[in-house]
Order: sequence, then C-alpha cells, then structure tokens
Amino acid sequence: MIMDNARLIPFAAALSLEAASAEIVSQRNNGSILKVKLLENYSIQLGGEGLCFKDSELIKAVSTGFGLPCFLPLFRHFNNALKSISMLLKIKSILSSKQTSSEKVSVGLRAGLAATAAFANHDSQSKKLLESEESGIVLFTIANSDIAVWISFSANELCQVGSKPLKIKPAAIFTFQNLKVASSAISGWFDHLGGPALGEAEISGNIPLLDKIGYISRKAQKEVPSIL
Amino acid sequence: MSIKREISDSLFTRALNVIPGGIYGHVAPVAGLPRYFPHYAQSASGARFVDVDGNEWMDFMCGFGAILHGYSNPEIEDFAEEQRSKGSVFNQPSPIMVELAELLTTNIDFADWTVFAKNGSDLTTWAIRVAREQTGRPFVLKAKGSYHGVDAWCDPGFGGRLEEDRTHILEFSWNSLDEFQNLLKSYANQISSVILTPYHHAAFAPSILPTDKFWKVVEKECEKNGIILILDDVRAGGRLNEGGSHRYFNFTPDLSIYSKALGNGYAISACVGKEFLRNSSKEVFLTGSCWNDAVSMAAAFKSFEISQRDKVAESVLKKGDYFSAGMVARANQLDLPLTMTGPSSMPYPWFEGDGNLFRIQKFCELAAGKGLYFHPHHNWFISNALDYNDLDQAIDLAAQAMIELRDFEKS
Repeated sequence: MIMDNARLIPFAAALSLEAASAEIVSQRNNGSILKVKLLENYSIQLGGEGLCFKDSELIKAVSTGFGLPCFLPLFRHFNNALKSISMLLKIKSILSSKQTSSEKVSVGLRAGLAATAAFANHDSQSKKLLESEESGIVLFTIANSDIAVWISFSANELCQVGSKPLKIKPAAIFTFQNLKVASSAISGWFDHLGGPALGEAEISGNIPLLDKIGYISRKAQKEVPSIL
Repeated sequence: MSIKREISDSLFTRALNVIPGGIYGHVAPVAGLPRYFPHYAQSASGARFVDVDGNEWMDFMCGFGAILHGYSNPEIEDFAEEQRSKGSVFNQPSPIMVELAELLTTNIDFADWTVFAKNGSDLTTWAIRVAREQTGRPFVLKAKGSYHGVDAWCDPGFGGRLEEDRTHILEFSWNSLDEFQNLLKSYANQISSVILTPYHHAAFAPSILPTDKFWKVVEKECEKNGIILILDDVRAGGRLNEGGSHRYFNFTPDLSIYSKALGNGYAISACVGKEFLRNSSKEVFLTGSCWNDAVSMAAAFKSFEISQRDKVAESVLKKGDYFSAGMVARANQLDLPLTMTGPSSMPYPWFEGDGNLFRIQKFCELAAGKGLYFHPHHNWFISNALDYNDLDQAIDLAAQAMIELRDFEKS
C-alpha cells in the first residue's frame, strides 16, 4: 500500500518506536513491545489499547520528546497506557543518552531500519527502487561486537527488520568500525561516501542493493523527525 | 606488497571538507574497494600507475577505459603537445577539428558526418534528441540495466529525478527479442530510437554478449519501423574493432557515439551519423564552452591513427584472450570456477555462484595486495601497453591471490 507523506511519516516514526521497544525487550527480557496500529482518524495506537496519538502529536513526541496522547483511550485503559508510556520513556532515555553504549546503538539502528522499511514498503519512490531486486537481507554489524541488525525484503512480502541471529547468508553486509561511528550514523552524521573510504565502515556483498537501502534510509532519516 | 595509504587518506580527509563525499561518481571509493584501492594517483606510464603513497600498480582498468594505448603514450603526448604549444580553446575551432572529423568519417564505414563533445553523456542524450527530431516520435528503447550516461533519462543514481524524466524511456531485457518486439508492437509509430551498447556490460554483473541473431533482428526491425538505431560505443569503441564495435558484431547503426578510448585520456567524445540524419542533427543545439579544445582533438587524432596503423583492437583482443585463458586455467586448477565474461579485451571475471559478489570482492582485495588493480564490480580493460611478460606476471600474481582466496574460504 502506498501512503502519502502525511501518514507515512508518523507511521514510520511509530514503527521506529515499535522496533526500538522490541530491541529493548529482547535485550532486557522485560517491558512491552509498542505494537503499532494505524487508526483511521489520523491517529496511531502504540502497545495495544491505551496509548494513542494523533499523527501530529506523535510527530511532536518523537521530535521534542513530548506529545499529547488521546485522553479517552488513555483513561479507559490506564494500566496498559502506563506500560506503553514507560516504554516510551525508556526509549527516550536510551536514545538521548550522551554516552555511546551498545544498547543505544542496537536500539537506534533497529529503530532507523524500521523507518527505512516503512519507506521501502509504503513510499512510491522507495518501493520502485527495490522492485527489480530479488529477495535478500542486508545485515548491519559493528566490528568486535555482537550487535547485528538486519532488514529483509522479497518481491511479494513487506520489508522486515530484526536483530535475531540469521540463518541465511545476507546479500550484503555493512560493518561499522566501532560503536562511536555507528552512533554517529543513527544520529545522521555518517558520511556514506566518505566513511567507508576512511575505514569507518566496511561494505561487502551486493553493493547496488546496499546502495538502494542506503538511499531509502537517508530519505527516511531526512523525513522522519527524531529526538537524536 | 603492503599498501601504504597515509597520503591518500590525508588527501581524502581534506577533500571531504570541500568536495561532497570526497570523490564522487564511478571512481568514488565506495564503488570499488574503499580500503584496498588508493584514493589518488600520482603518475602513470604504459600499463602501470603510481599512487600518491608511492605504491605501484599493474593496471587493468585503464582509467575506466579512457586509456587504450597506455598511459602517457609518447606519440600521442608529442602530438598533443605540438597543438598545446599553439593553444587549445579559441573563439573558433582549430583545423584539427576538421582533420579529426575527416579521419573518423573515412574510417568508420557508415559515417558521413561527425560532431564532437566532451563526455559520452553529452552525445548519447544529443543523439536521442536527433532521433526525435528526425522521426517526430517521443519514445526511446533501451536495455534494462544498461548505462548510457549521467543524464536524468538514464543515470543509475536515485536522487534529484522526476518521474517524467523517464516517461518516454522503455526497457527490455538484453537479448530478449520477444520483449523487444512486443514493445515495438505496443508503441507502434511512437518509438524514435533504440539505443544500445554493442554488448551488455552492466556493472556488478557478468557481461552478456549478443546472441547470434540479436543485432540482425534489432537492425532489421529498426529499419522496418523507421526507428533510429543508436550505438552507444562509448565504452567499447576501439577495443573490439578499430572501425567501431558494430563491425565486430556485424551490423550497422544509424548513429554511433565514442568517447573513453577516443582521446587516450583526453576528454573528448564524438558522434558519427548517416547522411539521412545530417539535417536533423543541425536542428538539435549542441555546444559547450571548451568543446572545441584542440589539444584533445589532436590526442584523439593521433590515438585513432595509431589504432588503425597498429590494429590495436585486434592486439588487445589477442592479449585479452591470452590473459583470460591464463586466469581461467589457474582458477580451475584451484577449483574456483571462473568465467571471464564479455569480449576478452574488456573482460569481467565471474565466479560461479557469486551473485552477491563476496568472492570477487575478496579476490580483488587479495590481488590488490600484490599490486594488481582488478576491479570487483566493473569490467576490466586490457591496455595495449601490456606486453605478454606483463600478462604472465599478472596471471602468476592472480594465481597467488586465488590460493589465498581458497585458503581464506576454507578457514
């Protein structure tokens, strides 16, 4: 389904939050995943009933750290809403931390790739770029660490993002030199042309595919606001 | 050899401040082996170049095809120098422009006229406009994945493009005559031109030669349907046949564009055409500030003359045959199934089952450590400055890289 930017951007932001929460849950073994549900009245539900934002408020929330949720569902499902708010605060705390940690990087990478996947699935230009590609997985890793986040796609399915160990060989691998470089990438400060040339990242495998995913991710990063 | 790269990296770091991405386009480090190839070259002679850190490389890329007769070829340089001493760009063109046009139209069998520019793109785009002017039709047919330059109708990038830039561009799979003919039917009387390279030399993929009947059918259908057949001979020109690659594949285009090897490193491109397109060519505006550059034209004149005199295309094909056979034999001995795809003068190596390119990338990394400039993603070019001793040396070094590759994969 192709979306116009007015909906795609908050939707991509919400999917980033869902991915970030999923990464936190998998690492800490607690908390709840902020499952996204796109509602018809230009609002988005996060983590089941309870926490719901108007699209515009969600954009405020991800860009400034605060957005006003819809009150009615909040009061109706208060406990569930609190769980979701707690997870949102965790995400904020991790991503806005000035320290570069492996948790920050893995959460940030997965969140960023989720926005990329949203564009790959629902933005007409991005979707078209991947049309000619066969199915495949692009893996993002950090040298000397066990962080591994991936984005997968195939002709008939939606792009997906994950961080579980891969059973199949990726089509392309992007390896950041260290956490600091990866952290700069999730903040939008990584030079995709200059970085690999200076050894800040290593690229291998299907470079045209990596190039397309890279372009889509930069587009998503440009369009979707973030507190980073 | 251990590759020194301090100066390369230092220059690149400076470049990042003042040039977006440091180096862009097909020579951007990310398009090759960012940490194994040097970022900057210092000097070159014959078939070797020296990078800014003093590493010497045996070159199999020839400036991505711009060099055919070897770097700093003395005959060409002397001839260019003679013109340089008189001047290069004036208010008027120089006599060498007429002489070069005469040389090309005399030696390219179907050519009745010639125009000049600087890059392949300048003239591929101009040629499709000439075809539109001639036919009054909007559509252009090309092969999927083929490269015809940097303009929005065909560039391989993603940014800054409008959907309407390609509204009138139709594509078919190389060698698929069914797809080709279906498009001719679906867009009857609307197609102005078919633009194709002599064979399919897409980057990141094995090169594909035309099937026996491909060019015959394309040529015949174009003639039958009043479509202008444009040959983009920018990359292959001079490397398959001295008179143009159409002769190697035995067909005749209506327009043909040359660049890369034409000036042996000097920026020049040329489009030659048949008589019936002369008037239309006059209607499509064509110019550039330095396009009358007489030094490049002098270099192209001498370069083309050498090609004819020494049968250089034949020579690089023979050398390519020798090199490819040696590479394949060594790879087979090591159980690394390798095919050298494309014509032997511009081969692209393809390891069986290496669709995602990991193996060719590793191989080229290991070869780089031995001073071989083998590109993992783009077809290679055999310089006529390579002699058979050089080729033997390259094959031996490549074989060592293959052994290391096999050991690396086993580990």
